[in-house]
Amino acid sequence: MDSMLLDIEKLNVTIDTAAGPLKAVQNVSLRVAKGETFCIVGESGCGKSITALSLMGLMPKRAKRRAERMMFDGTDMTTLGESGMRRLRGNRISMIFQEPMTSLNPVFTIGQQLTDVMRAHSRVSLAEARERAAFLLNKVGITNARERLGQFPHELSGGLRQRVMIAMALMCSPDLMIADEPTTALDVTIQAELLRLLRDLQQEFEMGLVLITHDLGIVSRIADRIAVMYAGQIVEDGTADEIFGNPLHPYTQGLIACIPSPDHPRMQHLPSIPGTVPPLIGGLKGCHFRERCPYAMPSCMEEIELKGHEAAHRYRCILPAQTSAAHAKMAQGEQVHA
Amino acid sequence: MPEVVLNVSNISHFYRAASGFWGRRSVRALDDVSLKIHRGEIVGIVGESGSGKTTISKIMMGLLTPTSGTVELDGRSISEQSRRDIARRIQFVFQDPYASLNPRQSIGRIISQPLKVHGIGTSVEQAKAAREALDVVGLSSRIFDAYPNQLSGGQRQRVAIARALILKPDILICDEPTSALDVSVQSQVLNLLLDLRKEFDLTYVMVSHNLSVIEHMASRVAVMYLGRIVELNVSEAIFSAPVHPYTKLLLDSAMTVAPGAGIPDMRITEELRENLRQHPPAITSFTPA
Ligand SMILES: Nc1ncnc2c1ncn2[C@@H]1O[C@H](COP(=O)(O)OP(=O)(O)OP(=O)(O)O)[C@@H](O)[C@H]1O
Ligand code: SF4
Ligand SMILES: [Mg+2]
Repeated sequence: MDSMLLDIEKLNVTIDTAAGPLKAVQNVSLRVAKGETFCIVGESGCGKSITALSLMGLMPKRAKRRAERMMFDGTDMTTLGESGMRRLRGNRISMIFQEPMTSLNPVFTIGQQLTDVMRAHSRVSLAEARERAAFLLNKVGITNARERLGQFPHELSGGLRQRVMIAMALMCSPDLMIADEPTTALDVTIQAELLRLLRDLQQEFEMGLVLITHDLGIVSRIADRIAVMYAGQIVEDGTADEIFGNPLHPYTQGLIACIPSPDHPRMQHLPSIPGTVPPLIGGLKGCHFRERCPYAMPSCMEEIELKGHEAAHRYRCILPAQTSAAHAKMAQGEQVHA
Repeated sequence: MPEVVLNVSNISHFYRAASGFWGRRSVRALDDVSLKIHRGEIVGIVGESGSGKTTISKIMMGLLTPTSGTVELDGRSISEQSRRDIARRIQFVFQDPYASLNPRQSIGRIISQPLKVHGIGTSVEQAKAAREALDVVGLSSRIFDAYPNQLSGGQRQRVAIARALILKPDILICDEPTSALDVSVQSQVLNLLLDLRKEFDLTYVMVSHNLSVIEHMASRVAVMYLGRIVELNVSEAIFSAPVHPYTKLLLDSAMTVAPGAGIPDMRITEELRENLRQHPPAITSFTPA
């Protein structure tokens, strides 16, 4: 495990709210290797973004973080303090957010913003920084890179701004990139182009990539490993082949079944997961998915641990793997023959 | 053959851009768009952002007057019909269930609002109708006095649908009705739309950039590119044998679930763009089943 870039063990984040403590992240463990694409999926409000932010020491107000281990490339991040984390963030870990307009400063030119992030963390001349900025804009597929450096964010389309964000995140050649829904707001054609780009750059620079998205189509195509989050917990994780080929948690099975596809008879009901993610205030007892699970039984009220082999496939459900696998097959059969 | 309920012919529309560095420019949003919608159809409109999808939906609802061309509702030009008359026939559901509901109004008020505006019924009757509408969209009438911020995205979208249905329209225009929702909730809302259509004999126009949703829901599909309909045909044909290069590009770039398939290789070159612009539209008019 020492070759791991990111090694997080039992991360917990609790937010103090007016209604009581909200357990946004509970015992989340994840490991990301160099050059690996690790995807976090799950419905809105399951804790994906808070997980990502707290990894980088960027917690919402009134949030407390606790973890058994938080290692980045051999460094214990819990000992780093605020300034140490800031250095790490600009330098070796980068983050891309969903909304490019809110992450770019409207009053500075693209060039100023790109060079600033680099010069804040390393001793390079302005000329060198501009050189790298132009090089990266070119890399992310922006033509006339040099002219773009003098433009303001509002002069660019959504797709171009998102490219600038990627270029900005790459300015310091990070070892790890955390991307939270980086392409959700974009058109399908641009989305495909940008993801391919991210993927190429990642391979070229051997960068680890943590991609957060609720788009299972994207995940199925690019993930090496996947963690499925539900109501603050990882309910299933493993290799992409395992998660898509043999999903064992009823939640994962439900998510995959809901996606409209030609396997479903047209203009007929799609499978759905009844209900919504429960509020996380006060903490939930037993299996968090219980109220929406078609297989729930009294023993699901007990605390349920992740079981299976960490390297290959784990899931948090009381059902034996054979039973779950049979459910998955059945669900698939129903879709095809309904 | 089912009658044409909405007849859009030769619509062009220019937006006046704000005056800027280059002086006043106008942007052509629609270029000679024609589309007939028949009773009971679900017509899907797909295309990239800026291709004119939302503009054409606004024009269909009479919310925007096109620069040229006509829209007929039941054979009469909508420019001759009052907003009120149109509203009783055509309603809409927008993409963002967060932005489209007034945060300061209770759910009951939001849903009964159109009845108030149209002066239909007493306030007791209006409240009763709103409770019934909640039931129709699968929400508990307990949320009658709740406010939008107390509801989930899926619930808010159901509220928006309830509000759209309260005047008993026969055409619903849905602009990205599920794109702000999770897949699990998306399928709940799509199932609801399918049920409502059967129950109330509705005709839908569904705008979406999610091709899988359109493939599942639509009976016919219009593909828009740069303000024009570049391909129009029954859904099966569009998805199994696309003709226009832009339709092909859209289908190729869709990221359907395909483990290990990688990301489609979209190299959008100048040459391809030129080809997309030059290629003649492939329009197949409606043929009754
Ligand atoms: N600043 C905050 N204060 C209080 N609660 C918060 C705050 N930010 C998030 N939460 C709550 O924490 C939980 C997890 O939120 P998070 O944003 O991580 O979800 P997510 O999985 O990223 O969702 P999405 O897919 O919508 O981005 C939710 O219950 C959310 O309402
Ligand atoms: S533990 Fe029980 S309720 Fe939870 S997912 Fe498994 S079967 Fe369903
Ligand atoms: Mg998030």
